Amino acid sequence: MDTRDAGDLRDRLADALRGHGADYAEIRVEETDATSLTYRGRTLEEVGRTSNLGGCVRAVVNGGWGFVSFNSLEGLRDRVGLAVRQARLVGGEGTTLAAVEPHVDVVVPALRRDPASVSLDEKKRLMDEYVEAAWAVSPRIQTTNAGYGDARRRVIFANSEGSYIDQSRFRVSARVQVLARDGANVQQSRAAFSSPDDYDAVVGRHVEVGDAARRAVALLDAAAAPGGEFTVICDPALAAVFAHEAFGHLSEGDNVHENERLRDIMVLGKRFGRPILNIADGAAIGGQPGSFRYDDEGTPTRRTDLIRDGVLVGRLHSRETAGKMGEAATGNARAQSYRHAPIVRMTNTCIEAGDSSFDEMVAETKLGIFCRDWYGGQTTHEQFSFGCAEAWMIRDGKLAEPLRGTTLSGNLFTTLENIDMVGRDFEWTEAGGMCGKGGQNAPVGQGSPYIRIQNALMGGK
Amino acid sequence: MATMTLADLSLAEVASQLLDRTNGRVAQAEVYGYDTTSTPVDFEANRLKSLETKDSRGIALRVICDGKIGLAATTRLRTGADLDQVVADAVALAAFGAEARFELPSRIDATPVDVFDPATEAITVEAMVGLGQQMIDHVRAYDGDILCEAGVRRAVETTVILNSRGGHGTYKKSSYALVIGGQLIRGQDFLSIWEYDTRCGTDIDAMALARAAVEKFEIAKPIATVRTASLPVIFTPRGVASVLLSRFGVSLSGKSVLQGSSALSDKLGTAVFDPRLTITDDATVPRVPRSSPFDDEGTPTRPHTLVGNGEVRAFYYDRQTAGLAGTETTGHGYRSPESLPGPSTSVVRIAPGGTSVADLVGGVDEGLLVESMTGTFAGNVFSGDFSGNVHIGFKIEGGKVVGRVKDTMVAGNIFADMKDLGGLSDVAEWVGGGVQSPHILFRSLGVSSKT
Repeated sequence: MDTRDAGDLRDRLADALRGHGADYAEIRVEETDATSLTYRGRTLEEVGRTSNLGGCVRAVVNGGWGFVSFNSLEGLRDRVGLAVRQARLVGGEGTTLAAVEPHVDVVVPALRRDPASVSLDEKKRLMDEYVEAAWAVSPRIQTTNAGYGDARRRVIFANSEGSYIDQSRFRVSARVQVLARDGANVQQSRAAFSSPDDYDAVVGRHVEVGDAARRAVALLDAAAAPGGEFTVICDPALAAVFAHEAFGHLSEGDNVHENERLRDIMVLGKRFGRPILNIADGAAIGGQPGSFRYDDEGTPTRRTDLIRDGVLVGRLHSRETAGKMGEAATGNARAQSYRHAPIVRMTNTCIEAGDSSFDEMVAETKLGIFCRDWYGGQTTHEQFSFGCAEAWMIRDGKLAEPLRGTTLSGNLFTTLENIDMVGRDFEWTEAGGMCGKGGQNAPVGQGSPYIRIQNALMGGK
Repeated sequence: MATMTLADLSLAEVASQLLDRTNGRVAQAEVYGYDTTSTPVDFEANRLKSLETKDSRGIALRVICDGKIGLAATTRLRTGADLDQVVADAVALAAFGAEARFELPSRIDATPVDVFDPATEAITVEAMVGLGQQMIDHVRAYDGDILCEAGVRRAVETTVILNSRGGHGTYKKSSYALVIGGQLIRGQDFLSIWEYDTRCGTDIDAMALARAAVEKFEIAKPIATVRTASLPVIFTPRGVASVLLSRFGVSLSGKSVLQGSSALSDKLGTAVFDPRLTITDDATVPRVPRSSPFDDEGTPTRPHTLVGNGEVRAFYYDRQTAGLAGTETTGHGYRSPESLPGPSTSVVRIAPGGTSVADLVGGVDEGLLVESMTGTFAGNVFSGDFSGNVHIGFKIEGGKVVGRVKDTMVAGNIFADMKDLGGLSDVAEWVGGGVQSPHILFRSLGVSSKT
């Protein structure tokens, strides 16, 4: 059996799901095809093609879940049987899933320029040019690591309530990491581009690659960032990571629904920030790495306000967490692949535009640090940290000496409240990010304007 | 009569059919195949949440065609036509590939390494559920406000490597992991504690882990403060594994050295670290999940000293990187199925020193004991810098642990701050399934704290 051969796949999945006595069951069948180019320095080191086919079954009985994943699609009915037996063994206090209308749909995005229509020759030429653009900047460039990838992912979802959704997604991306070196001093910067629907989005970006190389070289002469508490201005890319770590994860229903104390803390209507702060999430926001029409439970996606005028107004849900909390499913149940059960997670998360300008923020900062671009982040819910790629001191309302990248940390209960200026120039971070949770990775969109945070804690000597 | 599908064949038979299809089309070919079954039992919010069975099977083909490398991988294994597609993809891509600077091994003469325990394959799901529940019951008996999570996970994996020069090898590995922990929220303080262990066999003492978690909850209850200053910091073995090792891994990788991105690239034979620091990499350690008889391209594994008495002794290599660098592979060619083998560490062991943990702590008048940090992966790993928020860490005052610190960051650099260490503890402890380390005392790191 194959997703390519069967108009009758829908019937086969429906047959396999029927009559097992589960409260609910679903099957996902997934096909992916990916091409990648990986450069080490100026050499194209690796050219690879990956083609995957796999599937999974998830079932719930009395609130207990069973999950089975596989590569061979033979004997689907037996797989469903195994998932249901496992679910029964887990048991629990009853199944409560928020209602979602069954949907039958085929989603194939309209591609502006399909990467599959571009020859490998052309892709290689493009990446060769990017790599050369970086090397041409300075003799202090030590090396580059670059990569190109395009992928198509098609997921067919069927559940015991009659949904049958055939959804395809695409992604094309290019990245160039540049390392500059002076003796034992090794500094890095990067440029990254991506698009869900257009090969041309990663074409013609030579200037930005050259800029990344110039930043890496400039960092060689930058001082290490100081440690301690500072007024910090974050650029949109870093501010978006901040929103994701500082608050986003706590708005995920699975963290809250069975945790009474956290429920008390994350109660809707509670103030977390000043009235200038607005945070939202949603896969229905188009054109971003976390955009899709149905989540991995077949729930149509939407945009969900999380913080409105500084007050907690919503959270992200799967059908189970929504059902248990008496709220509506928001389309945030995502699985990395057929090898994983979906979990509640962010899609495209953003801080909405405010009314300050970057220049005003700097001018109104006597002593502070301007942090730019991100190297990821992490949260333990109360405390979180996130890394920036480069920074500058701000002295007497002006940008002063450059600093190397550093790590910042914050505390849920004070840091959101400490955001005292929100910029008016909103931007999505083009390449988005990859969020790790529960052993699964998912591409996420990140958007924000510049923000200023009072009393932010920076790591350093 | 049903047609024969690849699903009915063993992994070795599928690998062999794929290799046969490359005959006469390529100069060299290598098939890497895996077949894994994992059974995780997970508890959330104090109770059993789900039972899962995950089977995965796939193959990857690496070819050398006209002197260049091509790669294709698939989990689409239904009929011979799927194998033909893999060969066609790998051959087509080789036209764009890097020049091959290695030969595949004609024999894989590896000494067996004990990484499979039939007891792991045999343990029942019911027994796994029982262990998880026991661990949770123990922690909840200590404090019913702790919201517990636990995991009892087993996996069995078969790896097959076959190449056109006659090399072939296969081994079976089991892994068994226990994790117990939870979250305790008091007011605006969220405390998360986790204890875990991973082995090839089921010989992990679940109750010892649960007791360790309780002990940690207990010592973490009092909150202490620390000032922003340069202070001595002790990293526990878990702190070493989670914060410091990735920096060593990057700097000692043959690939970083070849590219010149490693700060150690010109330091072979040079004393860079404290003379008490010795780091070995050894995939032959029995019953540790990161061990294996040979790497993912069929090179037998053996112990290597990477840093010996503070001196950089060796870098680690796979075949292609070694060929480019004009040296020999060290048996560190590891891969995911979707990518070519590249240098990666296996089981990393930092040799113990001569001071007891109690004496290390006792010698610190004002400082920190750090167990885990967040955000440390986010820095510039090539520079050796590390910086992050202390997740689980304790204040030391007058040689005694007095309480847990919060809103505190630690920053340092493995090159600058490990030249002259305050000391290493006399016992190296296992952390998870691939690292063994003592406690390490830094004389002075940057500590920043909210005032």
